[in-house]
Amino acid sequence: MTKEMFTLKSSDGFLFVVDEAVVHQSVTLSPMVQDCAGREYPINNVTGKILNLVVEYCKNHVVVDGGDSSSSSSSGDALKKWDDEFITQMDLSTVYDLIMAANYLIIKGLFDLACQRVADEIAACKDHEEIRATLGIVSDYTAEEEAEVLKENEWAFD
Amino acid sequence: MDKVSRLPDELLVKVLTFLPTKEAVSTSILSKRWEHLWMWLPKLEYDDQHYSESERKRLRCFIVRSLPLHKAHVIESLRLKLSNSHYFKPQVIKWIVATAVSRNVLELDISCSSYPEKLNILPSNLYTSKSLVILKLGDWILLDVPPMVSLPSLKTLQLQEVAYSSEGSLQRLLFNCPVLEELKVDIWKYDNTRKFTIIVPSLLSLSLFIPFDYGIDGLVIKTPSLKYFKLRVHSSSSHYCLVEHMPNLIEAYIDVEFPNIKSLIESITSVKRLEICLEVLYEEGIVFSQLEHLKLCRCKDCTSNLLVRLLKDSPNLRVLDLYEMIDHYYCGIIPWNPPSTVPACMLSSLQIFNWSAYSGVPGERDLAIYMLKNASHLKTATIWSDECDIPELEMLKELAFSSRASTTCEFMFD
Repeated sequence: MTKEMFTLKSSDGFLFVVDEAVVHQSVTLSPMVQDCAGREYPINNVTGKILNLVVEYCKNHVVVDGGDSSSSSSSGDALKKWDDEFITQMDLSTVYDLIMAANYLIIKGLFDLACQRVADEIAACKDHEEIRATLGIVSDYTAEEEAEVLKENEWAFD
Repeated sequence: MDKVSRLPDELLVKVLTFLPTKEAVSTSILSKRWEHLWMWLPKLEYDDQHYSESERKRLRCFIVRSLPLHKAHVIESLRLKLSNSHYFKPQVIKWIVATAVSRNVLELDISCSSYPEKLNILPSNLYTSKSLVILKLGDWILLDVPPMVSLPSLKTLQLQEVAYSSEGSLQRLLFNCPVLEELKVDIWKYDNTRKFTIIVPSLLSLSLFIPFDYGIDGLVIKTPSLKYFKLRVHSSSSHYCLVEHMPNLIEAYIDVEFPNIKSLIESITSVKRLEICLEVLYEEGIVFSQLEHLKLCRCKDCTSNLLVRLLKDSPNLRVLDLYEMIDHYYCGIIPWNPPSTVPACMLSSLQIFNWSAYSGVPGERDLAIYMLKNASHLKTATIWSDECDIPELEMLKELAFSSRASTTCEFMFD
């Protein structure tokens, strides 16, 4: 039985040919399996650069997820290691795009992985100045307003 | 360049859910857009262990001010690990819980350490919460179940050494949890409940622990849908024990020291996997027709006879483990009394035999040799030796050279 292949088209015209097991990892794309074999399926709000990463993630998760649920802990560890390397080597800007793509395509594992990366960046900062610098946030508080927030949520700034 | 600001609010909130509550709240200082984002967090966790008094004061001020203003439509979970201190008196904790309940909280996990005084921190609206799905209560919280009790969504209930206000409190609470699936009860050694009645038709998983020397008068369990059963009763008094049959039982862990076990053993005959330690031998006439994996704790005097009876009563047994349950200490010698005929499972289905903490004394050696000699379908036999007087090499020689019924059996000695 030959595998059904599907063609995904990014917003900037790049084509990705993937099999059914990859498509099924996206709750949004899953229904297309019924009627899109052979035709191009446009994904209008994800660029080629990001879609490439999404497909890479999904391809790597087919081997374990698609198989039996009693996969050994060692293969689970290997997958976790792959996930860590995958997400850590990206710059944050790419991670934000990945969050939005995984949210739109509804791929929970990828979404959680990307969110966790941003959370880890925040947790690693020693103060809010560093968080602003890392996330690229410009404060619009006046000095008084900022002091007010610090006072209101005093507990959180211990 | 505000890069992270490309993300819409709901996704920024999602990122915050991956941070501890305190860190998430601290993002309020980043910019005006971030000031109130954390207030959409669906899960809140407050833990004041290791806090100084002034930190506790700040935490209390914070919770009291912010909880009523929390924006999330539904508080999915609230976890409180608070000490009963000057700043978190019972009234305050009760108010916090009541506020969460009024916001349709789904999961409540409360443990408040204090000296053994009962903590009256559960508000009355908790007992009629339509939304609560998971409730976990820890040490010495007073469970004062009112006459009107209704928890229509509760699926998981864990009561870790709580104090029941009256005999029958627990039973009345359970009666009003129509969809309860998981129940874990650890009895506090200074509690006053004498009779335990657990009647829950919907229950799938039950774990009950009654501590050493506890004055228990009776135990009744009616959970006909149960799949997972864990019973540890370290009280040895001869109270009554009535357990209804559980036809869907998959796994059971039985560690009991009381003598009236007839009803209990009859109730678990459908089990597939069993871990067991009993003080006395159970009566004849039992068949564990679906039992395929047995783990027997060999700390008691009756081990040898119990093993023989279990083997005879389990025609489809595939795996046998001899081991010691946690905190059980074996300090005697099992005299091995071989049965007059070889149990049926040893001639047909038994494939795996494991023995941890083997010490090689004559009684144990005789048992090991009997198993190897008679289990004709054995695939692997693995024995881990314990520190003792008999040298390992000698133990190994005795066993490795003993006759074996199964020619394909792989023997491993550690």
